[in-house]
Amino acid sequence: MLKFKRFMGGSWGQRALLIIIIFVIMAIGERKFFTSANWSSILLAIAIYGIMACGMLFVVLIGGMDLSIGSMAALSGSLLAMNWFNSGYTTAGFAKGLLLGLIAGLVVGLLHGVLVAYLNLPFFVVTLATQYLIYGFVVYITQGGFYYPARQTGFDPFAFMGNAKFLGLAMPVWFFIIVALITGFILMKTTYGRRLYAVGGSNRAAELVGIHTRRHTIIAYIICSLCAAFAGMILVSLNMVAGCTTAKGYEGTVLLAMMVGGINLAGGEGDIFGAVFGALFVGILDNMQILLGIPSDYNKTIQGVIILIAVALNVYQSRKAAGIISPGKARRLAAKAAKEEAAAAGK
Amino acid sequence: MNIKQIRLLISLLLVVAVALFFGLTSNSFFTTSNISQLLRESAYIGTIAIGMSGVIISGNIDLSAGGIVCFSGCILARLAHAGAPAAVCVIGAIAIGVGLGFINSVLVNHLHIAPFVATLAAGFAYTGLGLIFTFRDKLGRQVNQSIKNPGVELLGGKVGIIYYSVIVWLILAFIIYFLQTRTKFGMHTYAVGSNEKSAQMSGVRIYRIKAINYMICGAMCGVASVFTVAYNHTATPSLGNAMEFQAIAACVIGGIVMSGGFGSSISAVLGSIFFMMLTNGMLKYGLNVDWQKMVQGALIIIATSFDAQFTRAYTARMRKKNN
Repeated sequence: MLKFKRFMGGSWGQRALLIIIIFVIMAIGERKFFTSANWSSILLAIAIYGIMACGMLFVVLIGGMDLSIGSMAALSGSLLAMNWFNSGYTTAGFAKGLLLGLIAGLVVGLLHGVLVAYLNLPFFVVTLATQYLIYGFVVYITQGGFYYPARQTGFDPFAFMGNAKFLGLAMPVWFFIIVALITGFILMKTTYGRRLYAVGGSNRAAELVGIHTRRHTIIAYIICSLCAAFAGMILVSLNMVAGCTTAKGYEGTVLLAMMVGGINLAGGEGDIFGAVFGALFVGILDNMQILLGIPSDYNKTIQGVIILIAVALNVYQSRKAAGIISPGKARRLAAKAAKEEAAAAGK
Repeated sequence: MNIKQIRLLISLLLVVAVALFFGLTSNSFFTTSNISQLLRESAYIGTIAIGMSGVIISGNIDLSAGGIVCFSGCILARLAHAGAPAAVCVIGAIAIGVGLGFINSVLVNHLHIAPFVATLAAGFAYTGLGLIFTFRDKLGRQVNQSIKNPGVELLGGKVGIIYYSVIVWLILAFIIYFLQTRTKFGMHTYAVGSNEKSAQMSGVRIYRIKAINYMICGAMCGVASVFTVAYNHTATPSLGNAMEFQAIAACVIGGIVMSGGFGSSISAVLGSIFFMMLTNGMLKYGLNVDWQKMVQGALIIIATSFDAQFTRAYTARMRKKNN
């Protein structure tokens, strides 16, 4: 029983509880939820969020945040679709687009890293500003329009990325699995990954023990932008359309995934399982809303409320574990102690 | 002259320089209609920015400002459409702003959620709640319902070339400036922003200070929504969309440091005029939304890095001088 209690108090127990709640709701509300067709569409939806979440995890672990991933995805997706379209659907054009998209991710990540690590600018302002910058650049290169690449007969690398199937699973899902495995390996088994936790826990302490914190920060931002760029290309290939509205507002959804996955935004806490679970939860939530017929207008409200509940619970637990009490409670406790003392003295 | 005055002077000079640049190189800049529109647009961002200034000075951030504008604007439109007197509409919108600001402060103070996350998520929720109150046709689609309410329409008007919103904005900016620089509450706000822990140790009621700042910010969002709805005669779901980012950008450009304890509402006013002037001037040159966004982004980075270097250089110089 004690073991069970400890399990339910931990992160895995909470995740299990969430899943059980969802399954119960769906079993009452809409049985269609449990069909395999529905699950493959859920997996497809979470693949994009999941890849972004895996990258974002690195930045969140060092106590940062990247608000520009939506724009980054739009940029890389547009670059890929543009090159593929303008080259007259040749493989060389596709490869060029792929390369340019990844280079764009590298450059943006490097810019973030340098600004945050070397100029000590707040990550929030930096990534907000680059969100504007990249968005403007996407509108500039696409001239405010959209690219609709036509599907090719024979082997079509562009459509292959998003629409092909392998062993019953769509390609984006495979990409997500690969990215999750790689990032999980980096975080859990390499020196870089372990040091990242140290940097996130305490930047100063990490620096004092000889970790090059600035370099670690820059690499984390680069990985995040690269993942976002990759996710954007897959998204574009999935939807067969690219433009400035691609992946707009995805940063909020990925943030939700981070929160639900129990990843501490202050840094140093969280793992790849949290990110994957968070993405899964976000996908299931979207799917639930569609199946239960909740209008999409309430999407944002539901997301916001869930983020607040998830974070409030996380904060409550960590504060309780650390034994922190708020000033108001401290005052009440002191008053109570004084009263008891007075009562004891009176006797 | 201390560092605060120097930084304010830099902002002022920048505004004058940009105004002169666009005024001399483009002949449609210094026209009465352009100036009047420019000030009206600055007032929209600026009203939110002066509320935001207090929140940023106290070391927090309010990303729900756009959501508050959307929510209170939609309620206001409903009230006005139902024929309520203008005073009721205005007080209702501001009261909603204060209420939502209070919710933000509870999330930050009592649930101990990081301000950035709490207000971002709360902003999602407010925007979504605002959508419930938008006008819809029988099929449930959103429609642009024009509001017929003489009292509210009057608020969107202007006297001479100056819109009422601009006058109210400047008056509110000076009231907030007075609060920030001449009262105990203002001093405590700077203390909390500079060092929260030591402020608390010195007996500052930090939770109360933060809560009041959030509520002022909410009230300002309410005011901004009143004038926008009054000017447009309608409330759409995109009302207030991304306004918080523009307001924060205006604050940053005006010289309010994101980590808190520096700047004032006047910085926010100058920042928002500068921001809108640049956008307006770029339109005159035929540079579209792509260039505007890129320049805005670059401007935010330049302003923050300038402030970081400026503060460091000034402190170093002062230290040298004192030794």
